[in-house]
Amino acid sequence: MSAKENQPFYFNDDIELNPVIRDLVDESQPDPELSRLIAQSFLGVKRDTKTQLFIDESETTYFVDPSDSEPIEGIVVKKPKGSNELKVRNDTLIPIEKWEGVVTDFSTESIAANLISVFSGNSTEEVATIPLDWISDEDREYVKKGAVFYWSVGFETFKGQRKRTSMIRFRRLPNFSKTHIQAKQKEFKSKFDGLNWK
Amino acid sequence: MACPIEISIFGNGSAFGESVLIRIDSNWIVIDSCLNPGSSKSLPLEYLNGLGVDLETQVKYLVATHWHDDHIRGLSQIVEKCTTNTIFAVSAALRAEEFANLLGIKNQKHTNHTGVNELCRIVDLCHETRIQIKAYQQDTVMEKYQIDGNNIEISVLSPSSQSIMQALKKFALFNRLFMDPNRSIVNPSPNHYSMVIQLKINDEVIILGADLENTPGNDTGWNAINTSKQLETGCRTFKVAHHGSSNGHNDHFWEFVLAENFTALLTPWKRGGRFIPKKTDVERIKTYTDKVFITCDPEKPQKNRMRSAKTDKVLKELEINIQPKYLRYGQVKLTGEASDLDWDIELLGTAKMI
Repeated sequence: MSAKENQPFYFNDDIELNPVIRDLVDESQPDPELSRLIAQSFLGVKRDTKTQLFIDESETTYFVDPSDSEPIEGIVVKKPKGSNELKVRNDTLIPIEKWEGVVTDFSTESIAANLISVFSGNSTEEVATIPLDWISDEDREYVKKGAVFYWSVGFETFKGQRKRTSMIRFRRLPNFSKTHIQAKQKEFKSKFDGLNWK
Repeated sequence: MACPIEISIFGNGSAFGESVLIRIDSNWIVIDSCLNPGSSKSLPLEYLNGLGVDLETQVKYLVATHWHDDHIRGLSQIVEKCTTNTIFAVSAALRAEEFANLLGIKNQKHTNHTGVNELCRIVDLCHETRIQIKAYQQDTVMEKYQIDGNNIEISVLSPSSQSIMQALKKFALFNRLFMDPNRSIVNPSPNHYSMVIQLKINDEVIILGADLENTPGNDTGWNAINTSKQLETGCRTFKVAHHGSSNGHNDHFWEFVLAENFTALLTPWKRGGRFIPKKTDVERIKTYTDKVFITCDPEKPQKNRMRSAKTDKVLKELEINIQPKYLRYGQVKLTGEASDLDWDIELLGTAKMI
């Protein structure tokens, strides 16, 4: 599986990739050049495009193709301390169902969400109540009304053993700058006003 | 000469989605759209295609009463098929700069959810097709004409100027709240800028209440409709507003505008454990009329398998409870003759009388 050019690609949530390459050394520093190399090698980001790269505060890497304003969320790739070797995690989750969800309500115990199946391509929504315990501590700060998340259910292989598992991860796109938003609004307003209004 | 009239109300079996089709002679008005859960195609579009209707010449109006998910899904599929012969009618609230700015922020293709994406697609398509767009507010006459000796008048009863003003304030608020690209717009109330349409065929009055709700002020929501210059009393066919909720009920309108034992048409709305109309809503409606028709029972939607048995088993083992999709839909179809409107009523799919 490779990223399609000019389409959003959320690598962090796409656990179908084999091998899944992630950095496992939290204390090290992000390495943009290494990330770019990985993106080119494994995500299908072309070497000849002027793909820009930046890393947000949560150290998630994004690849931005200048021909498309849509950031492509990438992977956090860091050089392990004292070593130039990449760590490759071979653990995989084979999803049998995957949803894009939007939080519609939440309490101290659970979140209510609308879900759209990523696999079926059917845009009819489903609804679910998800216990808050299922959300990792790291992701709980993202729980708010309207928050977008990805939920995969399937089989995980860990040290050769398979088990059923479910994984939820909230989206972490970087905030757009005020200039970016204003430009988008201006562009859209121009199109909106240019419609055949009577 | 015959002038056939049809009013069909569609809703899908998952109790989420509403659309109304009106036929006057050989022309059609499409009001809102919802999806066939089995095919993900627009239900009114599938119906018109099935009848062999030429969308380029026979669809006179395409109406988006408001921008909520359950009313606009699949509308872009219809826009795509229409030409400059069709007028795309929207609530005047959606013509405002505040609304354009909101779409501008959210037009980022970041999520599959929300009616915003559908609206952005519609804007793109309207740009390509050059379809005519008109923004309507209270007391506007959309069309008035005669056909084979029958007088036809289509007018707009809502939104009022004050409702539009309130909607603009809300859009400005959304502009600030939903700037975060990781958030989708959820529960984008209020509903009181919805377009409510009145159709008058000779002396017969039909009112389509969209999702209009009651508000405390006299110049917004249903209270504003009661003062509309276009409002006709003695309405014998009413698409009940806001899925029959108590918020959509207005005592004055129900007692003085609706005729005795009128025909009530409604679609349910369901999300998780919440649904309308509630039992008390149905009881209230039935104190006014015993002719109440709904596109599906919100408490007993039709089940249909959508996942493999293996997936279902894993979900069960992980104690994941996903509300199943309901692949069927319902249609309440009223047909008659303009010169003597005495409805023949057909209930199709999940539709029923309650």
